[in-house]
Amino acid sequence: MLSRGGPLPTPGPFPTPLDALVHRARTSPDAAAFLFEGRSWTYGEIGLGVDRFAAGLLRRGIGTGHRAVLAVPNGPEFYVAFFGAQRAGAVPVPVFPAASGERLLTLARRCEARAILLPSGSPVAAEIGPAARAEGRLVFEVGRDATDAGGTAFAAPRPEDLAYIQYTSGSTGQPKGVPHPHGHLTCNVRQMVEAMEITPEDVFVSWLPAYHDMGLVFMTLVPLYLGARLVLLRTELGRPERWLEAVAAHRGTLVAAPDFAYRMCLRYVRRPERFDLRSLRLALNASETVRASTVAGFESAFGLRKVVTAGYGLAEATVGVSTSPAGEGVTVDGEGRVSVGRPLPGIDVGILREGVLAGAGEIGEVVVRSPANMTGYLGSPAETGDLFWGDGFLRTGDLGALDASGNLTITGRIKEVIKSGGRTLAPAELEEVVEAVPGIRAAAAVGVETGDFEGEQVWVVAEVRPQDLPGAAEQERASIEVTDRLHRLIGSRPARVLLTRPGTIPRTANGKVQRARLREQVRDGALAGSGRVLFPE
Amino acid sequence: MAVPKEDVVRIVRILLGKAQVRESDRLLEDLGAESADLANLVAAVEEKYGVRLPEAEIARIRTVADLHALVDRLA
Repeated sequence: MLSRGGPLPTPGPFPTPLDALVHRARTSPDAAAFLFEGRSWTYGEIGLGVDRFAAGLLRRGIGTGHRAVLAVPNGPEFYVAFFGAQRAGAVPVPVFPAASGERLLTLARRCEARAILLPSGSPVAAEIGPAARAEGRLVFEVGRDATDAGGTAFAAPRPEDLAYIQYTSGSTGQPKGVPHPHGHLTCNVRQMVEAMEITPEDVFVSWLPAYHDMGLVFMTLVPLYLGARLVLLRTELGRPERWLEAVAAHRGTLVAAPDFAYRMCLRYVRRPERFDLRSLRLALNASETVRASTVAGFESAFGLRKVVTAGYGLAEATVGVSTSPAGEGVTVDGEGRVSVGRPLPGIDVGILREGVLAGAGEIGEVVVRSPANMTGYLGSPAETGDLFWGDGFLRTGDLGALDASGNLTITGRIKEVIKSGGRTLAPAELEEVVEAVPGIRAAAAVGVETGDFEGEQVWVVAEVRPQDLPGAAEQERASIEVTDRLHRLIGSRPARVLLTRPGTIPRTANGKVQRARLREQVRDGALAGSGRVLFPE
Repeated sequence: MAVPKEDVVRIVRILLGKAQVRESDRLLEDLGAESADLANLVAAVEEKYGVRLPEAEIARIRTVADLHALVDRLA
């Protein structure tokens, strides 16, 4: 069977979010585009910043089709850089903003970027400037490298022009760039607006990182496109009170976050009755497994009813794919799984099982057909080939089932990604960093569901020869080094690092790491009891 | 059963990936731990010492010494 989201009827008010921004900067320059850390930024200010930055890019030869790595945290400069690059005809490639200079250069090489965009005053700019220039890449500081745009004629983007490239974890554990044209972006924005009945009267409150799909497309491009109010916060997962305070203070109507963030509110926010969240009409819970206990706990702690909405999406389909109906509460199946609802308008969802679409209730790979589906990964034609099935269906690498009414439930996954703390991580990328630590010969990173609260966490198994790291002190140093390097790479720490004897990581005959098998061994404690773990004792 | 301070300090060192950790260090401010790290530390000491740290007490932990004192009291 196929679950169909139906047609996407209403034409959007603007061809692209960039057009919406440019239009409002001209017609309502004094209206607020968003609030950030207590200061309101008007469309006029952002529009001027965008034009000036675009002119700065063009002046130094960055323009049509050039890729620009964008490493800027949440704030006005992110949008000036994102839309400024688009305004110049370039293609922003948003990445984790706290990445090291070395890492940014690697990413820039990987996507053949001509420019690297950094916040004003970033120490990384001076650090990597010479090396980047030697490779023919220019480093920009967003606020500083702007110039008078007077008289510059900017061409409006066409729907088929690339709007941005989203890095994501891919399906085999290697990070992949997903190029999306402007048409996809606008399409998915409209799909989400329709499905969740979003209006210009909504007030969005978001701390989600703007560099990644849910924080970028759903939580900021949707409000900017519609002209809805946006209260943007810094990304500080450790302080859920700030999020709740902002919702209460600005009478927020719409928030979105992964399940983990809602669990954080339940665990760390004392006296939840302090926060009046009754203005909320929709709290989207998406991007990792939605737990029935979190939904019920959050609503009960904050005195809400049928506000939490469960959703599903992936960067390969821009972002949003399905949601449970707004205002109707979530449905939980006999095994306690929360349904992520029906496809958004314009999207068909099926379950692929043994090469055909499965019937209701059968578990298989979730496949998605959407006009906002990517056409292929950047520079990976081989992997792209395996990614589609039948007539335009994207294979998601997630396992799930449809019920008789077409509601989707996610039950597991085939792809080898790690979903931890609201982020999707590519194991191969983590392993590469771990294997660079002296004394470590091979490594595998897996996501393991351990404690009840923590959810899925990163576990690293690293093979060492006892003669290379003979004592507990050397092993401890290596373990600390692994954790420190991963923290610098992804901004969070692995739950455990196990140093083991060589030959511990299960591999196929041709040497491919069997991450699914390793994950089971770690989860079931088989590894700990095997006598193969050298450290910790 | 007394829990040696240096054992707890060592767990903090390993899990937070810090070569130097002092008992007086504050987990969040000085060592840069985030909530997920805190939860991870709690799970690790609970497993190692076979104790269960009450939620209300966890919320009061500021320093490495606080974590040690709590585990030591319950173990």
